[in-house]
Amino acid sequence: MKTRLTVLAAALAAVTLAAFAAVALAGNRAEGPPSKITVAYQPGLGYAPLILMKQQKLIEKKYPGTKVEWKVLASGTPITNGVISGDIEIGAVGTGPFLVGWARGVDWKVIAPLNLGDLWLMAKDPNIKSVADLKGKRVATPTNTSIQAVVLRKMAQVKLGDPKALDSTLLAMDHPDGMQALLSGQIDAHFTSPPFQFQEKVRGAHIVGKSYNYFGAHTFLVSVMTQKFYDDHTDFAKFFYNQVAAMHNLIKKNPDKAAHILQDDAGGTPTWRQFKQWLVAKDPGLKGPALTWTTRPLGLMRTATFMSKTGQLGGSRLPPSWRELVFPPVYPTKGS
Amino acid sequence: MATADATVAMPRRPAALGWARLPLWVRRTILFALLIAGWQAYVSLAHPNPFFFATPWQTAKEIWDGFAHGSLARPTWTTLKILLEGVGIGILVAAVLTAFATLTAVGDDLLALLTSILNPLPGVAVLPLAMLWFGISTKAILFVIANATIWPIAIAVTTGFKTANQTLVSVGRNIGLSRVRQITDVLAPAALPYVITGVKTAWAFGWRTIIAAELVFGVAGENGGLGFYINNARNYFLTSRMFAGLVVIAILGVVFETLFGMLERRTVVRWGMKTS
Repeated sequence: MKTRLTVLAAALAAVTLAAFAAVALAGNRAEGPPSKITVAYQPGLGYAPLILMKQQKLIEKKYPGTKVEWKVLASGTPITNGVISGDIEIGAVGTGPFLVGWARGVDWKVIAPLNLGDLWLMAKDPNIKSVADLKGKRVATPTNTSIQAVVLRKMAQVKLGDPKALDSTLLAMDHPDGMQALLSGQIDAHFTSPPFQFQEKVRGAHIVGKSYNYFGAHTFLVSVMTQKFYDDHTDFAKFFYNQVAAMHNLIKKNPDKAAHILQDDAGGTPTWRQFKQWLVAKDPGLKGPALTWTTRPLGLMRTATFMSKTGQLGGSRLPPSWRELVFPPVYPTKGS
Repeated sequence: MATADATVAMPRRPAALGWARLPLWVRRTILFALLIAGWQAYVSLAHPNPFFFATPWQTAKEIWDGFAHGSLARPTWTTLKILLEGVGIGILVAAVLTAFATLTAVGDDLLALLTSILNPLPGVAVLPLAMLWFGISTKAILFVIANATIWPIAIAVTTGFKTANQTLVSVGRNIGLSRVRQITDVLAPAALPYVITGVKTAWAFGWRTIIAAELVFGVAGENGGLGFYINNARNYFLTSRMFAGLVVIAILGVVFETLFGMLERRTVVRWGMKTS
């Protein structure tokens, strides 16, 4: 009996040690071109530069030896988790989750801002005319760290005096669910992004607030990678940045072609005409389009400062300048 | 759960190191301390990414802060409140259905049919439908928890009634007990071990359902429960808070196990219907 127990204990210890060893030694070691690239993004029009890259297989053509994978995930949180765990090399997220992670010590920076975006707070009930009417009503944003939630707090601060006034009834829903909930009357307001805000407007919702009115023109989506990945594959990172800039040019100079590619990716609906309209969409009340396709980041510091004041950045660690938040290829754009 | 002088079902060989001779609380505490030591050893030796693994000390600090300042206390209470309500509704409906099933044959068939259809449905799978029917409100979660708890309890109670000692039932009939008194004085006590097991199972199902529902539900601010607390921690990269939430759930589990154990010792164990 004693021998059996001893053997059992020794086996248990051996298994535990082996597990420790496996975990400690695991890791992605790569020099030169990366052996694999996983790019993750979410549903939405803002990720168009990535979709265009994906459909035209630009990374695959330049780096034939690299295994390239494109993933669509429902929200920013699994993407950020994936970037931290090393599963995802390039993640496309909103500025909100990026800043929160950065402030918590996640060693990542922006490799290529994807766009500037005017995000709209939509409501269906005609009695909801301004943010002040939303007190006690159910408002949905993607997550409570999303840029939409941040702008909502700014709106609450301006219109209700307290940035946290709407926090207690805030719901986290991803864009497609939120749109359905708004249109079916289950929630009172939905703070969303293109194309969902366009679709909601067409289906009878009206705009309660626009993010540009509270933060000025600001960056909406960014693509991020870890410092380690950048150091290991600086050439690839530069290439990626250049490709994003090239896709921006494609959208601006040849929106028809871009729209066709997006239609293919979407499987036929919406049609390319709809995509084209969204890509360059102008709203009569706006001075410019809702989405501006540029790799120049704007409003990063303004957003970070506000988030720090409302405690979303953990109170400490405000970046001294926007350059701390991005990788070198972005420096020449002179962002803010 | 053995106390030093309870009846033991099978004679045990004397343990090699006298482990079994130590009092219960000493044994449990030593095992618990070993687990914590193992956790700390893993963190110290394998140096996992701090975003993946919190240390025991960080977790303990988060729990302490959370209860001192309410950021963890309020969600815990919110979750418990909803769960108690949901299980309460479940017990009531199960009682009605079981009474119906015991008193009539058609009730019996109906209960068996409903149970086999609705019991396998995981609460979280019903939640999207419930949110469409009841809107995005606590009612939807209550509905889902009620569904998760009614069927285990109903099964347990009917099994208990059916396995009641037939001699006792006959005695009850012989001395002329009315049907109602037969249920309350003969069948119900006979079914008590099963009922307690059923309530324990329903409670466990309820816990799982509500935490999962809150993760899906995601109400922010004061109305969030433990599931929301954990999800929020995830959004803010606060791994120690995620651990804290899980540890609190585990602690609550231990607390309720103990409470159920106390209930059992005072009833079924004392009556000799269950060895502890």
